Amino acid sequence: MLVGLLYQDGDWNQQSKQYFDWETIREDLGLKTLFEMASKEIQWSGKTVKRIEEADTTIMKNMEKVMMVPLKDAEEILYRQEVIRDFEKNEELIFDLYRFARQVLSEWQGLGRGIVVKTSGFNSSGDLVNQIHVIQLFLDSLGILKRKLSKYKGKLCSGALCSFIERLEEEFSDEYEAGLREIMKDVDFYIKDAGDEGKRKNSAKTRMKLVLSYDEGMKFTGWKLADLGTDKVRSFSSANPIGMVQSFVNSKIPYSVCVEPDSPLHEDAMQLEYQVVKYVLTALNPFLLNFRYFFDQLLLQTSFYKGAILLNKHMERLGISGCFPTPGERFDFTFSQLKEYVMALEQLVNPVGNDCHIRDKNMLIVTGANQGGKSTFLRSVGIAQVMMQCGLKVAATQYSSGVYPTLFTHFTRREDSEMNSGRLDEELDRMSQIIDQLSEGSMVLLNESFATTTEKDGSKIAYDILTAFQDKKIMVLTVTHLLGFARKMYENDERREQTEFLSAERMEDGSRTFRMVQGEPSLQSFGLDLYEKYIKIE
Amino acid sequence: MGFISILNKKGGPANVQRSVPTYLLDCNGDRIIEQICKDYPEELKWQFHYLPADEECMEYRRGIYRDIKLREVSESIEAFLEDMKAYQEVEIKKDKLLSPLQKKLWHLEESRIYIKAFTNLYGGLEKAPLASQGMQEFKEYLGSVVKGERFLTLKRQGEEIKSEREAFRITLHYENERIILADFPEQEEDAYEKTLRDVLPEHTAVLSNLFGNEVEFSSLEKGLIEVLIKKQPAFFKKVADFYETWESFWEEPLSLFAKEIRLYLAVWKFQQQMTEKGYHFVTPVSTGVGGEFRAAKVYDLALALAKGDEQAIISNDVEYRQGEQFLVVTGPNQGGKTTYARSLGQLLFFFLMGLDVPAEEAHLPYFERIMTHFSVEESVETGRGKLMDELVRLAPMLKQEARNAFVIINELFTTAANYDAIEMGTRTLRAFLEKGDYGIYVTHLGELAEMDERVVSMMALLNEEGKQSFRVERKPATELSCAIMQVEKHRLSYEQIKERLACW
Repeated sequence: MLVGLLYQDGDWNQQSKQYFDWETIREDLGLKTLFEMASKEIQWSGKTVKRIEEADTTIMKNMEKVMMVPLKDAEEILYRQEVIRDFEKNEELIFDLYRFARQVLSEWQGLGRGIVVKTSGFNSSGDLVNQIHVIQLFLDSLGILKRKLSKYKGKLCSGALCSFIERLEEEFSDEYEAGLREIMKDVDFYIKDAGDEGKRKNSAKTRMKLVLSYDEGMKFTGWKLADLGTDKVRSFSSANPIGMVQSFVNSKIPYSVCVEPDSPLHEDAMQLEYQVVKYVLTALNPFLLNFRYFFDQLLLQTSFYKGAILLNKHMERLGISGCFPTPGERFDFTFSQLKEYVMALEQLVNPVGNDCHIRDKNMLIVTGANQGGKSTFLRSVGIAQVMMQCGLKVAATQYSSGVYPTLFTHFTRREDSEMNSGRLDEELDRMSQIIDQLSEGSMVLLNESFATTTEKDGSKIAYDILTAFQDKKIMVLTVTHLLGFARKMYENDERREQTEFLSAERMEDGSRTFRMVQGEPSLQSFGLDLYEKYIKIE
Repeated sequence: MGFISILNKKGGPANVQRSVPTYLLDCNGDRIIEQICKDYPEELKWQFHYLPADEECMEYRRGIYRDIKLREVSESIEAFLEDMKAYQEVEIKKDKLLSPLQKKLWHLEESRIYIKAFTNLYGGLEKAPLASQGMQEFKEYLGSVVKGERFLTLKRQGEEIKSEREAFRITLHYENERIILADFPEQEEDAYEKTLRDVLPEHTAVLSNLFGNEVEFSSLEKGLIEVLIKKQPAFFKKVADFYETWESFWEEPLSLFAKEIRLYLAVWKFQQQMTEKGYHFVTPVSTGVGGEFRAAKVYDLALALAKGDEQAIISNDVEYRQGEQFLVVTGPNQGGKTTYARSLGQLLFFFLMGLDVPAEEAHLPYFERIMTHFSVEESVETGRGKLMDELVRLAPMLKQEARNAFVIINELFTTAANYDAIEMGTRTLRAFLEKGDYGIYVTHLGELAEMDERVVSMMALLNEEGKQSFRVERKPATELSCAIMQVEKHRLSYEQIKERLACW
């Protein structure tokens, strides 16, 4: 059965198309911090934070799994946003569901769960006993879940949650549940008493009726099961007078054989029980198969939503206002008070926010003062974009952007930026790999690319590559010190039309506001300012 | 006189031999036989180790083989052999069983397979346009058996017991440590299965055939059969009576047929498989003792097997013109001389067995025996030197009186001095020629090819690049030509060596 809280028409799976080179995106944007914080509960004491709980690795892991697969369109994004809204209003529900899913899986683990639901290949009675426990666990858990959720009927608005409840009530209807429970009662006799290894519960005995024919050599064939059940009978040892009477009466039944304990016949009778129980359990496969991934998916999906709620709460505690982003037209890009959330979480600050209003432009070039917040700005966009594209709230008062399922980051890290032809070679190689993967609806975030060669060469390379991107309608956001490149873009009327220029704001006194402002790129790099600032201080 | 044997026209089962004759080993015939017989019991191979007694018997077999190749015949024989396989499986089971009752029960099953196998076989053969004396006689004989009173009674009694057995439908109640055998009430046969189906309509579970994989009775079956004997004594009396009456129901000639027919079908199936892979076979024309001897596109079937599919196997022609008795083959090492000699051995072996031959066309004279002498590594066991060893093996071949042999010699006297080797080779060859034998002599001694007009010189040829072409053709032995090519290939001629040394 589909859980369907992440997607309308499917569940998360290993084959879903991930961001190409996800690891680089994760490193460049510092997303690990995000996964970690999404897994940490906050204990409040009134309005102040009392304690941040330890990280929950299950949520961390699952958060990443979900986030590494971008959603394809606005519809998919809104689908998840609705679920988050529901859980914001019914916080205790998502916390409860997550806890429940974890508990079921840990119980399953306790039963020696394999990687997959076992539906065949039983080769010992122990396997069957185990299978009975697994089925029982599924039955009980689904029953509990159904009843938990039914209480929320009417309180929830999202399509995802409403149809989840509906689906569960249909695919695990009360009637179906009752039928399955009846069958399980019939094989109950097979469960060995845990306290007394190898011996049956004294009070539970099988009652079965089989029909068969004779094959060649008078071998049994054509087995049919006419009846099966578990009888609660009291049996007495043959030393007991009642037992003696019982076995005497038994032995007088005509045309019958007595199954003496420890006799070869007893072994065959055990074999008979084994095969019959195996048959019944195998018949239950459709049930197991339908729910085989259910609890894993439930855990994965509730992990994500619990993480989403916790991320919102962390915004709250840092005083950052978040919003549900609006997925819009590609090449339109507007946001207000967008903040670099990862940095905020790491440094526990409420950083400077940036605004941006771009319409129908496919390139954004950020230039300006060093240490002026350019990289932070670029990262804030990248993080918000990835968060939007998995349905999360973003750290801005308003955020609207197109959906770009193929997103690349190409960040030159400080230690990489020495001039070195080997480095440039690697850089170009990576650019070439990116180009192999580009398609319509791609977004590329470049941070100080081609800094490993001279400004002049770097500009030329950047111009050639990025104008090609521009003409192929690839959304490009680039932070660059390559002023030659930026000027050339600005001076070409056609290019300028399609490009937005931002630079790090600098006050009259040369101080930085860490805000980006729209405007003509300067030819000066402001490094001098910085130099002067520090020299003066000394 | 009615039907006797389909391998031996003169009557009695055909001779078999367990050990592989030397000529088959030398020609790699054992590998081919191995492949032919791979799906059959070991003893089938033994039938290949003994040639038919005479020319008439060879042709008797070839006629039968021609009939076997008819589709309707091969199909019904294949089905028949499947039945025989099933029969043997039952027989093996039966032999292992301990309980006399079970033995009797399985004996009954054996008889049913016997009836079915021969009834169907007769049905198949009856309609077929059989041309050979052997198959026609067999069909007639088989008809008299399957229509006979004995066969029909056996059939009727077996079927009676079977249908009684099949009519049993019983119920086991297992509860309270007791299993009760009761009669079966029709309506509730699979009541519980219905219960399951109600809840899980799409389930696919099947109750496994409990104890079905064992031939031996399980304790449960044994316990319950005793209960059944008490309930149904009449049935078990019938089973016992049947066993006593029909302890041996086989007709002796049929049992011989079942053994002998496998040879033909095995060869035919093998031949079809090889044909599918692109290898050809032909029914040879028998030309009698001393008759015409020529064949086109003869190839080494064992090599074809080793190479598998697709590989183009080089085939060669062979011809002994008027007055010619021996081919002397010379040429480069690894050039296909031995392969050629082997392919002739195989050609004659299949011919003499009365089967088709691996060639495109073949006119072959009758030989009474094939004799081979292949050089082997020095024998550690005998402790004799190689030359000594060769001579010891050669001696009986030269002595043997009743002849009409085809002789294959592969590299004799390689350890002897050149002059001695030529002398010994010449004498050996002459001795065979004098006895009127035919044969092929592979050697590196070109002189042997020129020694007598009854000897034909053949050469394994190199292609333009100086590599082995594996073609063997009539050609005077010219050691020079191939030697020069070898030298040039290795860039060791005078000019080449000068050129290579030109750098200083």
